[in-house]
Parts: sequence; structure tokens; C-alpha cells
Amino acid sequence: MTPELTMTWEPMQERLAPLCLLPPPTGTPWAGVAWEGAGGTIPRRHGDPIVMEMPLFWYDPGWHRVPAMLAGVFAQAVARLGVSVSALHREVTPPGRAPEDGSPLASVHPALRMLPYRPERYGLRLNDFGTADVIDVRLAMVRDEFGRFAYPPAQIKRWEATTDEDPLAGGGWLPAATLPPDVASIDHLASKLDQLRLLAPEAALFVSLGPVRIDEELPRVAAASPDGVVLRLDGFPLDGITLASMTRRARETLTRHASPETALWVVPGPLAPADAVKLIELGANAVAIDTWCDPVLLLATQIRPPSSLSPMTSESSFAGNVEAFVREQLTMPIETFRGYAFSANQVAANDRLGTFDESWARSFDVLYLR
Amino acid sequence: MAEPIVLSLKKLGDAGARKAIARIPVPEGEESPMPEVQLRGLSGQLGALMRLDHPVRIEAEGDLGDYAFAFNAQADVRLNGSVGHGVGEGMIGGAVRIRGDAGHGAGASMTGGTLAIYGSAGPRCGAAMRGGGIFVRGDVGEETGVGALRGTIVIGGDAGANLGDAVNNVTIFIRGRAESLADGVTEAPLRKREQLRLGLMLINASIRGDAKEFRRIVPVAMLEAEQAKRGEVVPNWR
Repeated sequence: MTPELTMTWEPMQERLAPLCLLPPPTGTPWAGVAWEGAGGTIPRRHGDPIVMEMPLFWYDPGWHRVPAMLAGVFAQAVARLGVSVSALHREVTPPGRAPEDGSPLASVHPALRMLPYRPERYGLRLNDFGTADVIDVRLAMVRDEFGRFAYPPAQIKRWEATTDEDPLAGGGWLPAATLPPDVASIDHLASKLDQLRLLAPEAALFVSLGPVRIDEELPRVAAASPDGVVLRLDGFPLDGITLASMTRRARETLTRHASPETALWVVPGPLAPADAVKLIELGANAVAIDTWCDPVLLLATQIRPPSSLSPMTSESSFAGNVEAFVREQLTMPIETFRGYAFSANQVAANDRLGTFDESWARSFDVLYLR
Repeated sequence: MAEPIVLSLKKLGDAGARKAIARIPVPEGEESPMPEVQLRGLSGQLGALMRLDHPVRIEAEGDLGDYAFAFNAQADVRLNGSVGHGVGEGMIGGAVRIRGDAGHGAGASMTGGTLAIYGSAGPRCGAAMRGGGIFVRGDVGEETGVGALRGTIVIGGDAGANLGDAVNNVTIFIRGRAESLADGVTEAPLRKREQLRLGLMLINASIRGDAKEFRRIVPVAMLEAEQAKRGEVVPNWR
């Protein structure tokens, strides 16, 4: 590993700071707490529930920003920490190597592998369905780095394995869609989900959407009976109280229009470990930690890859170096999350949150700590 | 020639039918004809016979629902009936011929093979396709070919609005009229080589017609690159 390759975690700013994770009441018996961990299960409408090691996931890794070999070993390393990872085989498989020949995504356990099912399906191959634990039908539009609703050339190149001499779109960007072209409207989404259930009978079916028009669109998505919904709140400058209230509102809407068992995963943008626990207490079942993982991925490009010029660096030692780096960088926030989740578990479910702020207390019906 | 194998989708269910097809022995040798399956018991099933990866010829009778024959890799299918949305979605190879109409997104995101529809197809036919060919004898709906990266779309009738929106290395041949062309695509002369290519494709798709009756729709940048005989610099298309 390159010696100067280190990253110091700045104390993360808590977006939900006015909400407090409360200790148990004084006098609560001093006893060890049986805790099965922060994980849980994803109930499925058509099949057995899926066990989730930890309610954290990496929603939208920029795999095209790093070499495919690094992407593959990085995905595995993050998954070994129990974080579910989203990727297509094509995104993490080095050029010239068929995804069928030992894709890194074949072994992301104990975490779950999310299959990003974008409306355009660029880069998607049939074998992507085989190893998916969660299929995420993405209805939320994406922006490229310039703010367009589009995919950048580097991403297209990774997906479609084009060469520099023969780029698609002359090397330009490609516009993004809002709905799979073979779905007549959002009200016909159920048929697409049923198809995906046939293609990947062991996977849970999720639909992602943004917070805009949530009152109109979320009930229509819920009517398609997904196993879960991913709420993308990362593309908007939401303050803490709005982030919390959107999460609470989405949970209530799902309970009303689908069922309380329908999973709600939230992509909040920047957050501290305690924020993730608070979002779960507000109704989320899992929280995206892209802002923890993204900078580590970019920094890992400094780890020397195996090459013919450096015979001392084999693929396995490269993978080992990447895994050690990932563990070093992500253990602290993940362990902090686990610590807060563990302590929250020591308090009765309805008494875990409180606030000294009257407006927050009113908004979320939590204990007002006057 | 061996007798066709008769299977009932209704009796076997989709998984059973696919399993039965996968077990059919295939004669060795390139010249040997594909084994033939006659498929019955079709009643609008959803997701019927997806992921067929066996070199068989299937003759089917009746209508099917959404996503019929999605991700077909090797089978040569002829269906006398209509289909719902997403027929042949994600096709990898082989051929699917529908003697009826198709709904939205026929052949969406296909990467190879031939999809022929002898009736009409709904909106967004060939959307996001990445290879292969689509032939529609009748009309197609709006936004045909939207977001397609590679491949060929042949339209025997008319097209709805916004034909060819955001297409890339894609050629569209149309015999009738388009309600409107999308920004960035244009009508281009049908050169001799395209006439020959289209003629062969029409024969392969069992579609009657003279290639000369068709017009060619391509991205403006592709036409400019063609006219410059693909100069040194590949233009950025946006």
C-alpha cells in the first residue's frame, strides 16, 4: 500500500442533531442486553424473507470513476463489512474478462447485492439477475456532474465496453429516462415487477423514487406491490427537519397504501452515524452511506494495482491491500453506527427519541425534553 | 424430418415448458434442422418463455401477455397472435416473429437477434436497444428507438411523433410517414449498399417489399461523419 494513503475522518456533522437518542430511565436494571445485531429481514410478498446483515447500503457507487479491477475488489471489501452494495457485473469486471468468469459480485456475502435496474438498462446483462438479492427499479432521474439528466461518457464506456476509437454517441453524454420504456405508465408498474420476480425469484423487488410529488407517486408505486421502496433524498438540499419528516411521511404513506412490512430504504445524502440510527427510528429500514464510501473509493485509486511492471503486486495482494484500506477507513463510522444502534436497542421502542426543540417535538410526536 | 413436439403452456406452466424445451435433444451438424415445438395453451400469460437458450424452432398459437420471449438467446419463435408490452425485451439472439400486434417497448434494450412484428407496435419500440434488428410491418407508436445505442429498426408503415429521439449508432428505415422526427436525426439518402442490406434483412424477416420504397433516418452527426467519409475526428454528437 502507498504509505501516504490515509484519510482522517472529520467529526461528521449531525443533520438530525436536535433529535436525541435517549438513554434508558434511571433505575433500569443493570443487565447485559441480548442483541442480535443491527440487521433484520426484508419481508417479501412472494417468497421467504431475506436476511440483512446490517441496515446500511451503498446506493450509487461511481464505479466508472475507478478502474474495474479496483471496483470489483472494493465492492467485495465493503460487502465484507456487512454493507449492501449496488453494482452491475459489467461495472466491476475488468475489460476482456467475461462477467461469467468469476465476477466479484458472486461473493458479496454476508451483505446483499443490489442490482440497479435503470429504465434504460445500459450495461445490464441477463446474468445480473442470477446473483442479485435486491432488484432496485430506479424511477428517480439521475443527474450527471454538470446537472443534466444524463449519463456521462465514462459510465457508458464502462457499461457497453466501448473503445476509445469507437465510442457511443461520439463520446458524448446520453439522456436518462424516467420510466422503463416497456412500462406504459407508473400505473402499469406491477407487470414489470412480476416479470422481474420471474427472472430473479430469490430477490426482493424495490422501486426507487425521489421526494418530489411523493404524495402522488408513492401511493401509485405502492399499488404495484414492491417488497420495498428506496426514497432518494440525496439530490435536494434538505435541512434536518425536512429529511426526518420526509422519512416519517414516506413510512406513513407506505403503511397506509401498502403494508407496514413494506421496506423503506432512505438515501439521505451526507449523514453521521447517529443520523442513520435516528432515520431508522423514524421509520426507515435501511440507510444509504454513499457519503462515507465514495471518498474512500476515490482515494483507493492510489493503491498500486497489479501490472506486468510490478510483478511483486499480484491480484490477491492487491485485493488484500484494498480490503485492509477499506476496513481501516470505514470501520470507525460503521462501528459508531452499530454502537448507537445497540444503545437504542436498550430503550423501549417508543422512548428512544426525544428533543429539546419544541418544533421538532411537535413535528415528530417525540418526548419534549423541557 | 422428426415430428414436432407438442407442449401445452397451460398444463406445464412457464417453468415446466421451459424445462421441457431445454431437454429437447439437438441434432449435431450445422445443416441439421432445428427441432420443432408446437406450443399450445396460450392465454395471455405474463413473462412467457423468457430466457430461452436452446436452438429450437417454436410455433405458437394464441395471445401472450407482457414480456413474452424476453432475453431470448437461441430460439426461433413464430407466434400467431398478439403480445403485450416488452415483447423480446433484452433479446440476445435468435428470432422472434409475432403475427399480430405488440404493445409498448417491443424489443426494448435488446442486444442481438431479430424481432419481427407483422402487425403494429406501440410506443417506444426498440427503445434503448444495443444491437440486433427490429422489423415492424405495420405502424409504430411515438418515440420509436428512443435512447437506442446500436441496431436497426425497419418500419413498414407509419411512425408516431419524435421518431429516433436520442438514438446513436442506429439506422431506422421507414416506408410510411413519421408524425415528426426527433431533434438530431434526419432523413438520409438510401445508398446502394443500404438498399442491398435492407433487401437482405427484409428477406430474412420474411417481410415482402422493395428496399427502394424505404427512407433512411439517421443521427445528423452520423450522416455528417458519413459524408466526411469518417474523418480523423469523431464528432461529439451532443
